[in-house]
Amino acid sequence: MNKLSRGNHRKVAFVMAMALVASLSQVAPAAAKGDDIVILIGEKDSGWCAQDSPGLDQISAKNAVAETLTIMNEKGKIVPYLAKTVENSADFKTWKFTLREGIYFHDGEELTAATVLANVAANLGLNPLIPASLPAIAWQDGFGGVTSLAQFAAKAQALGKYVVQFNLPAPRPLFNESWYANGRPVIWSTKTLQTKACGTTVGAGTGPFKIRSKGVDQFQTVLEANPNYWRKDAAGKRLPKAATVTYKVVLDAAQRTNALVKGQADIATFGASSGPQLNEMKKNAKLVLFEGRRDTTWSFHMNTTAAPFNSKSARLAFSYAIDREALAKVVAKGNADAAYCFGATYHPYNLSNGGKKKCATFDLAKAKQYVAAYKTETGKDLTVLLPTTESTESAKANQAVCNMLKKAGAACSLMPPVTATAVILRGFALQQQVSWFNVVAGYSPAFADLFSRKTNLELSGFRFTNPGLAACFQTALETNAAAKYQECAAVLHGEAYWVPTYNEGGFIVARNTVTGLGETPLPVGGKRPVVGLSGFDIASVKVSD
Amino acid sequence: MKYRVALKNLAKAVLVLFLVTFSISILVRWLPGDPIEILMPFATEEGRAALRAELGLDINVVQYYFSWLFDLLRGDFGVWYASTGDGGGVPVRSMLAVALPRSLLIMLYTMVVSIVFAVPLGIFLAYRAETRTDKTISNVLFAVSSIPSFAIGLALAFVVGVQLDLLPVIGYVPFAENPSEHFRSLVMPVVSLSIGLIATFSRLLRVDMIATLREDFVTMASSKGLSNMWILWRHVLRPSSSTLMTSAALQMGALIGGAVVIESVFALNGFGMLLTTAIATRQYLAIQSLVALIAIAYIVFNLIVDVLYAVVDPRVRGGRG
Repeated sequence: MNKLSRGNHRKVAFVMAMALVASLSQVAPAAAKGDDIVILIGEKDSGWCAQDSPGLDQISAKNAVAETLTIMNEKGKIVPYLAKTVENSADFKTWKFTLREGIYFHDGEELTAATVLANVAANLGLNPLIPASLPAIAWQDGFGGVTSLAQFAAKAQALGKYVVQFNLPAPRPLFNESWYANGRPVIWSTKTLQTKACGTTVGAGTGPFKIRSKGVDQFQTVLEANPNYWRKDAAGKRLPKAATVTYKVVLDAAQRTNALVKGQADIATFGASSGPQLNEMKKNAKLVLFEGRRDTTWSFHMNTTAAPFNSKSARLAFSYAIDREALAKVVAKGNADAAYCFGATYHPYNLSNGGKKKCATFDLAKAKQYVAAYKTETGKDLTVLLPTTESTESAKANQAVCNMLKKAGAACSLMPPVTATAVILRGFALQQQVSWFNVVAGYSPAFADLFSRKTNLELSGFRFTNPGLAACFQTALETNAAAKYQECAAVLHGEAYWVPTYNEGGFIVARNTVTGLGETPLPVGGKRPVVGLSGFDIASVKVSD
Repeated sequence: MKYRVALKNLAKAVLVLFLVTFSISILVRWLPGDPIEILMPFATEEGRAALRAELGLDINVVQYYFSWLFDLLRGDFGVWYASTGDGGGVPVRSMLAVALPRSLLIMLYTMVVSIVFAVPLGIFLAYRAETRTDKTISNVLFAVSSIPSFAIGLALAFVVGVQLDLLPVIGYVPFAENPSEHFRSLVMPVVSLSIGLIATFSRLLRVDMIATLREDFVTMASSKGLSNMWILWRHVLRPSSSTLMTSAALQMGALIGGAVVIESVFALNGFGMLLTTAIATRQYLAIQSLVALIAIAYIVFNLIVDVLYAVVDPRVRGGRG
């Protein structure tokens, strides 16, 4: 009995061992080749409709499905996209968008002036089913604070099937650029705007891909080719080139790297704070790394409506405590530049005088002085709580900032991680003290303007406590005068409402079997940047066998 | 008599379930931040009021609790709200259909692997108690049990996944889609979770077995000429298993919602990730339902262990335990 039993054990063990060896000896599955693309991103899906404000990774996915009226080309200029032409009056109060004809949404609806008006109304918060987009008050303000469809109708009309005209009460020199807004205000079909599931599980856009599955699994979005896509490649052939695109959320940057190296994915996105992984991947011949222009500034936006950053001493302590060179070196490992001003030297918010001057500085002694001053003012120690998103990069970068604050004598800890959208939109509700944003980017102030004046965006808190500065930015927006922008940005720095940290360009890393990145021509000529402020152009991307 | 015991256990289980879920009803209301502001930051007043009513924030916690419980008993786990509020979200049941099977399978495989390795190891260590071998292995196990599972996971992913190219480093493949790839996709997550459990379980079993080995019946069995292996496996293991089984039952419950780090590392996106996202985004109904499921899992696993006690230990079966 005993021997028989042992014999059986041996047989079972042998069979199990063989099964294990057979299983392990198979080559690990690679990303599907040819028509199916697998893209790894570091941000969960939390909605694509007007009211949602996803981060760059989800914007990139969203723009594969739905597109904007205007778009940024590889030279950083905003050009017409779904719009064929954009014209304005000399006083920048009247704007006429003429749409391209023959563009259809995934649900069969044709893109017309009526659809655009419905989308603009939704962004302004005039669609009863869908809350206003971010930041709604800034959008409404462009139209003179419209709060009803009747008011809206007086300021926005269809002049024909494909022509929309906006009559604005105040000059808006950058109105065309607002309809790019780094990929946010996309145009959805009318039916999409009539369902509360807009952007959650459904969404018909005009983009190269349509939604196959989205929302139920927040970690995976599957898109399939739109057979009626309106753009063509350089040879005039139909796009998109791939049949499906799967966006998989992998929060851990090291694992995105591993999966890419191994061939489980074709493309992955990274922030500069994944410095060690990026440097490792640069050495891998099987991978190609694309970096965007280093003109996106990550800045802390202070919540000036609550302690501790309602105190200027606390804000200055924070600003002086950040060793920007060390941050760029330690976190980004050379893949970002220390940022002392906002944006690159060509951005209107940048005060560096062509790079000669530093706007903010690292000065540990001064940081300690201001920490002490805060204690004197309030009788409390400066205690900072930094919000983090779920990516490993976020935790790492925020921890580095925390360590710097601790050196200055402040206490610092990290909040439990939340989605990037929550950090952006829910700052006050989550009782955040600060938020680390990247709204100053590229050449144009249009996107940053949405956050620097009258806006309901949480944690641009100074608008409540310094209406004079909000008014300053309002004037700058209406005049688009460089001197005015400089004047306002000087107050941002002086009061440390926003604290710049580092400039990055964003990275996408592709396997060398991937072709077509950045190759799709724009209808007005030129191309999108390979790595842009709204991700990358997926239309021509394909994987060679 | 048996029915009375069963009824008593059932009543206890229901009471525990009630206490856990009712406590959660209260606790979620204590989470910082207004959930309406978080779920629908730019909604109209009407939209906010509608969501407030939908979430039961306009009624007292007792009414809210029984309303939720009634829905749960009908199989309605609530809605994962989108920022459009009521009507725009995804049923939690649909999300569970994706996440729960993954977590249950990870838990099941982890427990099987852990026990299969821990039991022989625990027996061996008990048999060789206080020898140099025992001390060396026990110290190694102590060290291993202190390594976080995510560190093991990342190391495995790099060495086994990337360097040796043997297994996929991310993702989950459903069994029905491809059985072979299903198991391959879960080898590293399961090993990462199992290593610590093997160390814990084997050390627990070792201690209990050493105590049992001092019992008179062992001396008796030995004097009758039974082999050491026979005595260890047939006579000592069963009465020494109670601590191991209790610990395993608790771990099974914990693994369903608590393997979140490993789920994140290997992009498995199971129940743990769902729960943490629900908490981060203040999905009240989802939190309530997910926690209820974890509580049910704990109760069920502990009931199973209660039954198993009787199966493995005759003293318990005879009411002498």
